Amino acid sequence: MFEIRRFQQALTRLKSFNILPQHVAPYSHTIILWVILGYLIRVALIPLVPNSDSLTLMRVSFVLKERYQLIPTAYPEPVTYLFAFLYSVFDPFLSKGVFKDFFMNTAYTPDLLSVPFRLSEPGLFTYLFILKMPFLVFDLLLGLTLLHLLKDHKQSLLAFKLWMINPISIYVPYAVGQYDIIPVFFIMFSLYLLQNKRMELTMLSLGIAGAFKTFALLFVLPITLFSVKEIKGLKEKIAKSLLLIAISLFPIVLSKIAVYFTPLYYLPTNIASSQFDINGFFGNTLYLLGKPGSPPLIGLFTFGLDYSISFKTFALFYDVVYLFPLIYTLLLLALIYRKNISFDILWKSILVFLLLYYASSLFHQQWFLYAQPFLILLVIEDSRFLKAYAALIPLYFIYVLYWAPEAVAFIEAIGLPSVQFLNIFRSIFSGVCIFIVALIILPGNILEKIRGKQ
Amino acid sequence: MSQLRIFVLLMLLIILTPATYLWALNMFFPPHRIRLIPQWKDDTFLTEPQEPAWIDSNLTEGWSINWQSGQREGDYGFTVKDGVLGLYATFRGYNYSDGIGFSGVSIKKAIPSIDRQTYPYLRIEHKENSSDSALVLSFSISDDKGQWFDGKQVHISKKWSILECDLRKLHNGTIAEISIQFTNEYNRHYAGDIQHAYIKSIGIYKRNPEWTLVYNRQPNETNISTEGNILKIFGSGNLSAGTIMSAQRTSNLTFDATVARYLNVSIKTSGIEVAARIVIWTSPSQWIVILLKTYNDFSWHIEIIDLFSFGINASNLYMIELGWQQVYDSTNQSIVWYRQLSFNLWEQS
Repeated sequence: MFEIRRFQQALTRLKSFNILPQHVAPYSHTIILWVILGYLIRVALIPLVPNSDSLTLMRVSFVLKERYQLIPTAYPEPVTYLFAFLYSVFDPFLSKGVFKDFFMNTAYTPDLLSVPFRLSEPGLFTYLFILKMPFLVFDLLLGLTLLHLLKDHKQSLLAFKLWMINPISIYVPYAVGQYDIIPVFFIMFSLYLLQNKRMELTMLSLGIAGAFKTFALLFVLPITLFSVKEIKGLKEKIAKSLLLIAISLFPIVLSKIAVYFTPLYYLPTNIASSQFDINGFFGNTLYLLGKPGSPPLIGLFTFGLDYSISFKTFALFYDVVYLFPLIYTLLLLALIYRKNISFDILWKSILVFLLLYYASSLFHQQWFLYAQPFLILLVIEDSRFLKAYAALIPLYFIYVLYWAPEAVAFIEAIGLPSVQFLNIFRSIFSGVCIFIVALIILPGNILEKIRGKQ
Repeated sequence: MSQLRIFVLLMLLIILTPATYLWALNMFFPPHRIRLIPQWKDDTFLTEPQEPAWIDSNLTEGWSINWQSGQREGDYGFTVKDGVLGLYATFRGYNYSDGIGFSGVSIKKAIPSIDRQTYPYLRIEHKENSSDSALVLSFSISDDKGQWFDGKQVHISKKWSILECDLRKLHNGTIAEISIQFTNEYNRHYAGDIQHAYIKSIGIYKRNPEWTLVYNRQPNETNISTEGNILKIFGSGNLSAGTIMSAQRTSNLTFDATVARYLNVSIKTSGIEVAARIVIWTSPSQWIVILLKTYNDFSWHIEIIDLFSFGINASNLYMIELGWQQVYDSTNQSIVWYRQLSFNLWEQS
C-alpha cells in the first residue's frame, strides 16, 4: 500500500515537471514550433557538409571502439570516449568501409587526401548522423538554458528564437562537425547554476566543459573570483577558491585517470609531410602538429600563444608580449579590483575577453561559438548591439574562408588577391569586435557623445 | 492527453525525420566511388639481371692474354682461384717499350654469337686491391671480322662493383670476342707497382636490373634483392642513426607525374628503429623526401601519397628511390620491404 502511494506521488511529481521556466510556460506552442524549425534546419545540414574535422573525430573514436586504444590528438579524451561509446551502441548500423583504411593499414599523405576516399564510401551518412545528432541534444538544452537565464518572457523567447536560427550555432556543430556545442552548453549551464547560487554545481559543470575543451577552463578563475567576492576574510576566500577550483578540475582528473588505463594506439606519422600533418609516432616519439611532446601542452602553446598577436620588445633578448595572456590578465584584474560584481557584469566581462581574443588572435572557426550565447544575451539586453552583431555574422563567414581552399582559389580566379581580400574582412571583423567591447565598457555618457547626442 | 499527443508527435518527428532522411540519401544519392587507376607500376622490382644469353661465372676456361703494354715477363698475368679471376699488372711510372707511358694488360675470350638487339646488356662484376685514381678497368668487343670496339671505362674500386654497358651503343653486329683491360689510362706516370683486378662474373643479358643499391654509410653487410616480387633492402652491422640505404630506379619512368600524381606502395619494416624512406628525384640534382615513417608492427602498410602536396609537378621524373633510414643506433639488422609500387590517376565514378 505504501509502495503504491509512493509510486503515485512520483507520478504526480513527474506530471507536474515542466522543463520550461514558469514565465514562458504559456508560450510552449511557440517554443515547440521554433524547436521543430531549428531541428529541421540542423538535421538537414548534418550529412551535407562532411568536414575533415568531423572525420578526424570519427576516426579516433572508431579506433578506440575497435581496438580499445587511444590515438593522441589535440582533442581532450572525453569526447573520444563519448563517441566510441555511441559507435559501440550503433555498431550494427555502421559500415566498416568508411574506415577500411584502418583495417587495410592504409595511410594518406597529406592526411586530407583520406577525406574524399571516406566520402566515397557508402555508410558515411550514418556515421555523420551518429556523430552530430548528440550535438542536437546539447544545442536544444542550451536554448532551454537561455530561456531560464532571462526572466522576462519576451526576452527569453527572443533569445531562444535567435539561438534556434543563429547561423553560427548551426554552422559549427552541423557543418564543421566540431563538438564545441557540448562545452558551450556546460558553460552556459554553469552560468544558470551560478545565477541560482549553486556554486559547487557551477564549478562541476564548468569542469565538464573544460574536460571536453580545455578552452573552457579559462572561465574557471573569473567565475571563482565572482563566487568568493562576498566572502569576508582572506583565509576563507582562499579556502573557498581552492575548493571551487578543485571541483572544476575533478572531471579532468577523472578523465585523465581513464586515459592512464587506456593504451595508446601507435599511429605512424609521415615526418616528411607538412608541419600540421605530423601527428603521431615517429620511432618512439609522439608528435603533435609537427612538434614532439605531450598533446595538452602543445595545444596550449600553439593555440594560446602562437596564434596570438605578439610584440617583441628588445633585439638582444627574446622578450615577447603576447596579447592573449595580457587580455586574460586584464579580465582577472578587473574582477579582482572591482568592489561589486553583479551577474551581468560577470558574463559581460567574459564576453569582452572573448571578443578581444577573437579580435587579436587567429581562432579556429568553431571557437567563435563560445561567444554566441553571450552575444545573444547582449543583444536581448540592449538592442543597440544588434547592428554590430548582425555585421559580425557575415564577416565571420568570410573569415572562415581561410579554411576553404576552393573559395580562396575562386577569389584568385576572379583576379583578387585572396590573402589580402580575406585579411581586409578579417580586420573589419576585429574592428567590429573591438567596437562592441567599447560599447560595453565605456561609460554611457561617452557613448552618447560618440553618437552625437551631447 | 493533448500534451501526451504532442509529446508522441514530437518524438516521432525527432526519430523519423533523420531516419527517413538517411534512408533517402543512401537510396537516391549514393556517394561517388573513387578509384586510383595505375598509369605506371613496378610489381617485379628487378634487382638482378634477367635471362642471360651468355654468362661466365667460374672463369676457368677460354681466357688468354690479349696484349700487354709496358710490362716485363712476370709482371703481368692472370690466375683463377675459387671462381674469381685475378688479373694483375705492374706499374712503375714508365713504359719499357715506348715513351708515352701507357701500360697495362688485356685478356680476351671467344664467346658464342649473340643477337645484341635481344641481349644488349653486358655486366662485369669486379673489384680491385686499391682505388688508385690512375687505374682503369675497361672492356672491348670484337665482331666476327676481328674488328675491336672499345666499351666503357671505370675507375677501380675496393668494393665489388658492376661495370654495366648497353652493347647496342657500341656496335650493331654480332660479337665474337670480349676483352678486359687493366691499365694506367688515367695517369701514365702512375707507379703503384703490382696491382690486381678481380673479376667474379661476366655476362650478357636480356634485361638489366632496374633497381640499384646506394647508401650514405656502408654497414657491415648490405644488399638489395627481390623475393617473390618484393623488394628487400637489407643492412646489418653497425647501423648508426641517420644511415640511409636505398634502391634507386631511373629507367623507363614513362608516365606523366602531373597526371599520375598519386603514389601507391606497400611497405613493411623490420622494426621501429628503422624508417621507410621514399625520395622522388625530378632531376639529377633535385630531390624531395616524400615519406619518412616508422611502423611498430611487422605488417604491410599501404601508403598513398599525393606528389602535389610536396610541390612535385614535373611531368617526367628522373628517379625513384625506395629505401630506409636508421632512426636509432643498432648493431642488428634493418630491413624494409616494398611491393606493388604504382603511380595513379584519380577517377570518380
